[in-house]
Amino acid sequence: MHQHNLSVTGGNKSVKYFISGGFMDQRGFYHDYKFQRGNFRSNIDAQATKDIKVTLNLSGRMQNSYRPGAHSYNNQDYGNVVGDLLYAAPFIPKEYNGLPTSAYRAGVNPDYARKHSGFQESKNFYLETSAKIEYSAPFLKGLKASFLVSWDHMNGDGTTFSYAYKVNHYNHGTKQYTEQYSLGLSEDGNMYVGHQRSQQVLLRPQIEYANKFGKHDVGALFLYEQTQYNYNSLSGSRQNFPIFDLPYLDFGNEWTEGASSSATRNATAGYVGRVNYGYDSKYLAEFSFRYDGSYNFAPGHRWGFFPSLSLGWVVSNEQFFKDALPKIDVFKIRASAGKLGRDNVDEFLYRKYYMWQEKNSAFGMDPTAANTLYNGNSYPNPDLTWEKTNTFNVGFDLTAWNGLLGAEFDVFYKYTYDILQGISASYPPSLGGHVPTTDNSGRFDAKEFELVLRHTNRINDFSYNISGNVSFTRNRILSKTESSNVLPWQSVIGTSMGAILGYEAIGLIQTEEQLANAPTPISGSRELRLGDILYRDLNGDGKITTDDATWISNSNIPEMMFALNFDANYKGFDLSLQFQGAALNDKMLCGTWNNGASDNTPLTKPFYGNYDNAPVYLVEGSWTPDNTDAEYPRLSVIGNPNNSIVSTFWKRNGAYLRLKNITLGYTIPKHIINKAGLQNLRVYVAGSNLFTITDFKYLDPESPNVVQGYYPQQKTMSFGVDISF
Amino acid sequence: MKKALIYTAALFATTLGGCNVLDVDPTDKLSETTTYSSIENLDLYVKSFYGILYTSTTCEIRSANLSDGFSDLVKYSWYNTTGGTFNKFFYTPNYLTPENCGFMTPWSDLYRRIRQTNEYFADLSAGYADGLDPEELKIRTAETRFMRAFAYQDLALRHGGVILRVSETSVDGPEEKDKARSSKEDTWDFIINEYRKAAADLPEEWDSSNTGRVTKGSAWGMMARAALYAGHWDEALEACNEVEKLAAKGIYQLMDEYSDVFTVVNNKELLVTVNFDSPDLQHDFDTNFAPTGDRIGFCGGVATPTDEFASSFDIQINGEWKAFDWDEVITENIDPWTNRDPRFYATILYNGADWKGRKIELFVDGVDGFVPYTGTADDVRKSTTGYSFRKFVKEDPDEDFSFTKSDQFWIEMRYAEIFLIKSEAYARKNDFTNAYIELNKLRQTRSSVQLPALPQQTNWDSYLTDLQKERICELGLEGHRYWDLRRWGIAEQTLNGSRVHGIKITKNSDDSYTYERVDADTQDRIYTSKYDVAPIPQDEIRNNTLCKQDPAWE
Repeated sequence: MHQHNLSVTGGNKSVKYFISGGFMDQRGFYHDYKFQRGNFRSNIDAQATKDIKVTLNLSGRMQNSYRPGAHSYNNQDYGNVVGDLLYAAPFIPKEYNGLPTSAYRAGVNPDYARKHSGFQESKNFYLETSAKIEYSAPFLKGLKASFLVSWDHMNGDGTTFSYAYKVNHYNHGTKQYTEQYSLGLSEDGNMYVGHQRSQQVLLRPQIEYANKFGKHDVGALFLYEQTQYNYNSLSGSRQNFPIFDLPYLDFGNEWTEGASSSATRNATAGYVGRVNYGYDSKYLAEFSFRYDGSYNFAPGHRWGFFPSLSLGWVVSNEQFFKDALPKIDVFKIRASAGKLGRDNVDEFLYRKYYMWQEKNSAFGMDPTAANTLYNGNSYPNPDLTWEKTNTFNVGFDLTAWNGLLGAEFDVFYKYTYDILQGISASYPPSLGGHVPTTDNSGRFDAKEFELVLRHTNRINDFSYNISGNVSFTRNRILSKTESSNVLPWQSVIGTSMGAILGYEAIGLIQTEEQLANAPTPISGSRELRLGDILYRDLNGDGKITTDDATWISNSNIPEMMFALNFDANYKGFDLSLQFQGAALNDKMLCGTWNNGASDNTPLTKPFYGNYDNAPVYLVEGSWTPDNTDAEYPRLSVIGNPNNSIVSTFWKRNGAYLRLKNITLGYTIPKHIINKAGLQNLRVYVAGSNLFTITDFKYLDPESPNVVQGYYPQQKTMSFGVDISF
Repeated sequence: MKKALIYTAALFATTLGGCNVLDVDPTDKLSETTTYSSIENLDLYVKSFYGILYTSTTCEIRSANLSDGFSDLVKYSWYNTTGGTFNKFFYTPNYLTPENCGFMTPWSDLYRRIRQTNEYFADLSAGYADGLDPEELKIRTAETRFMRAFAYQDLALRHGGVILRVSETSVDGPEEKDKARSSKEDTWDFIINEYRKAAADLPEEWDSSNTGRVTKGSAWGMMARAALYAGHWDEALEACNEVEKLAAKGIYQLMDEYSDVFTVVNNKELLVTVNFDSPDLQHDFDTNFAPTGDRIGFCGGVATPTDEFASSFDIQINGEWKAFDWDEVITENIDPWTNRDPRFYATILYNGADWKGRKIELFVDGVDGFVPYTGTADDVRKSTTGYSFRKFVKEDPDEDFSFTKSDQFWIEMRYAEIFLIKSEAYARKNDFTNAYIELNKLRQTRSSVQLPALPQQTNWDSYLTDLQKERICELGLEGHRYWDLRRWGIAEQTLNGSRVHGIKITKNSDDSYTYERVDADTQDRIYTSKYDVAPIPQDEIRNNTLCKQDPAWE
């Protein structure tokens, strides 16, 4: 990958400008996957008259991405490159009988597909502009009125032209190769062309005032902002291409579905106000509010008022403090309370409407598929409105001994209520869905703290600073709609967001006695044997059923995160290190897939689907009569649901510490470069994700739980040059 | 200063007036009055209710799961993926449970469709459709009524008594969530009456652009089937006779060429048909069930007919029709594939049959089969029973169905079934004379199917043997067998402890064939009488305090 940037800045009393441009080119681990981007920016501030200042900011970028036609990078996508490579059988030769081989059940060979399956290309252009006119009132010092208009535009094209390639597919069952076309692609070729366009217009009139009278420092701000966004798209696709050389729709013999188009519109509007007051730089107070409207809700429930107040006391500016603790340079105590809102819900749930369903039945002597109308919103709910969060915070800032010690500490309590949540799960299916799907009834709270510590020092020519931060957050669901006779250990109340439901595993069955006393395994399982996983029968009914599932793990998001930064400068050298890590991080090796199913992954079920490759640890670490002290259950030729359910057996600790970034640079001394007419020249080398300390040996502890096809983070090394004139 | 203030105020005013900027209308949804603004629009809405005939449980051609797989007619050969459920069902004790019953009952989906039809009735009652022509409206109401009855029939078929949510003034909502199951009697009574009401208003035929929508004959036909399942023999006969009246008018008839029933779109034997339209509306029947040799490595093998199915078709030996018996055929060296019941040739592909310009090779190492059934494999693409389906498989050698997919129509009900229903109803009333007259009509009316009349039996058990065979030969693969076994009360005795069989054909060096009847199951099948009624899904029991589970499933 390479990336370059050039910028120019300057100006005089009347006009100031900043202009920059850049270019980047990045490849995937297969060189044929590429991404290119060019961008520019031009910001100009002009003092048009004594009182009026005009600003015009323009920025744009053009980005192109290019991929082979066969595959996708999306996690859990069918035909994902990483998934295909990782889970393919490793002993198959690359080629057999003149054709590339396929060692994965999907019948694919990503390596060959790179140049032989077509392409997927997207080209997007984004333009962002904003213009502002600001009037400083001459009759009242500190009063300004301004009006900002912003116009954003996007224009994009996407083209996909894909065709199948032949492989010799290896069948594990028969141990034979079969010549076939790669799955999921058509041997006759398929082309899709789409065009998208969008624009957003933003208007923001604003009035503000700031002034100082003696020891009183006063400021106020009031503004209104609205945005209107619309998006259009047009696309067409054809199939059956006799010639693949020129990828244009005209060469396809049949329309797959003809052309299609769509449009989206949305809008936001809101008012913001703020008043702040400071006395003698010691006592500070600020009050602000938002009044926002969302188009998602019915008129009458659209607007929400969200105020907040914060107070601060710079104790270190008090005389008594300066006398008592002179070494402490800055000590400030602060507290704040506020309310914010969120409108995270599907639009138009308050209206009855019909939707168009394509071709789900066919009629006529010569049957022709018919489009039909169906009721899109069974139970309109006009009462939906904003979710609200009340936040309370107390903290302090401290700097002492001239920067030798710096600290910031904050404690938060957040209480969110009226959460828009799905509630249909608690109704019986015989109602057929004629139930409100969403209402404002959820509640949850979170307790957090953050601590930052800093140390800055200078010893002769060597200056350095170290800073570390740690943050912790724990949340709890206080109220959520669930069915009235939910089992107490399955109630979601009191659990944290995103907690995972599963079974409690006791361990592997080691003795005949355990086998005899074990509860009947989950429906569909084979008879239990030694080496199978033993689960806890929570309701004591002698069998393992969905009633025995309970909350076994927090979500994938760690509760505690920390980072440590170190910067140092010596003569011309600069070094910077950044460590980052997490703790209280539950990781599940299996879990919920994007389609909602809770199932194993190739990491927990060897030869998943009877085709996939298996990780060495599952096979070599499996229970056998000779290896009873094993970490993993016995292997079996037939799929066995008992060893394949989501349980604590597959839960691991994902705490880690990672060297995220290290940069070493050298600034060439001024006296050398000034001769060349340069003002500054620095060269640097940097690395990221260089090493990780963790117990979680399976994969990247920062990865999501179900990793089928997750594109791994990379260790990178880069070098560069900064020049200024 | 005044000027400045005015300018500022003006700027604010232009934008503050934009509070109506939030009145955004959707771009992909239609307003609530669209549907009832005209009969054409209403048709668009009513046609969506036909979706129930296209679900993968009803429209068996559409999914890989044929309900005949629960019986002795069809053998599924994979284990973990497509169709594996059938093998797990028969091999694993207690496989069907209230938590794991989705494969046996589409409860949520059917109730969702019922709710959608109830919305139509509620809208009518609220006056939305007052501006439409009442005669045309009646027909659409009747169509919707048929669809709702059909959904309840599917539920009653599996569970017996179910929760009847049938209010026509309002749709059941959260207030009505706790509702008890009605009795089996009440449920079937409701269904039969709904069909009766629908039959009164439905047209006898539609114009050519609407062929495929339900007709009077559809409603009477379905009522006959429902009455038969409910045990109301007289109502079944009444409904059958109504269909006969329409047949007398020329609207329905038995097709002379038997194979035409499955290949001629919208033919005259169909009472309720489900049509497709390539490429907009398709299914994967050929990819799953076409003989392997059609597209090697890509198709077939998911399931194949068993020998029990194939050998139900009689054979004519030396001019005499008799039941087919492999022992006799092998010892007497008779060609098993000639002189069979004519319906055999349109239903099953056998070794040596002409197909798409080639001959079917169902022998060991042949391109279409035979491989022994091992019980653990997936992706078995050859026949494990020595036969392959012909009914519903498309015989077009140029079609690349792996990409363009299939568009054969599914037969939900056809005129031939009326004869079988009538015959069974008569037999139940001990009128065996008429029972056999109806059975024999089916054997002798078509010009391509001329079989001798069955000798009349005088008791139910002997009659049942004849009825079973006729139903297998006529309606095999059309999704009847399993439900028949259940309602006759012989599912457990037929399936439990049994194994299905296949025919292993070996080609000899002199091009003759050696036949051996082999097991197509690796273990005895498990089926308890408990399975005759599907359990109510656990989700319903949990959230509906008045709905009680069947005692057998508690």
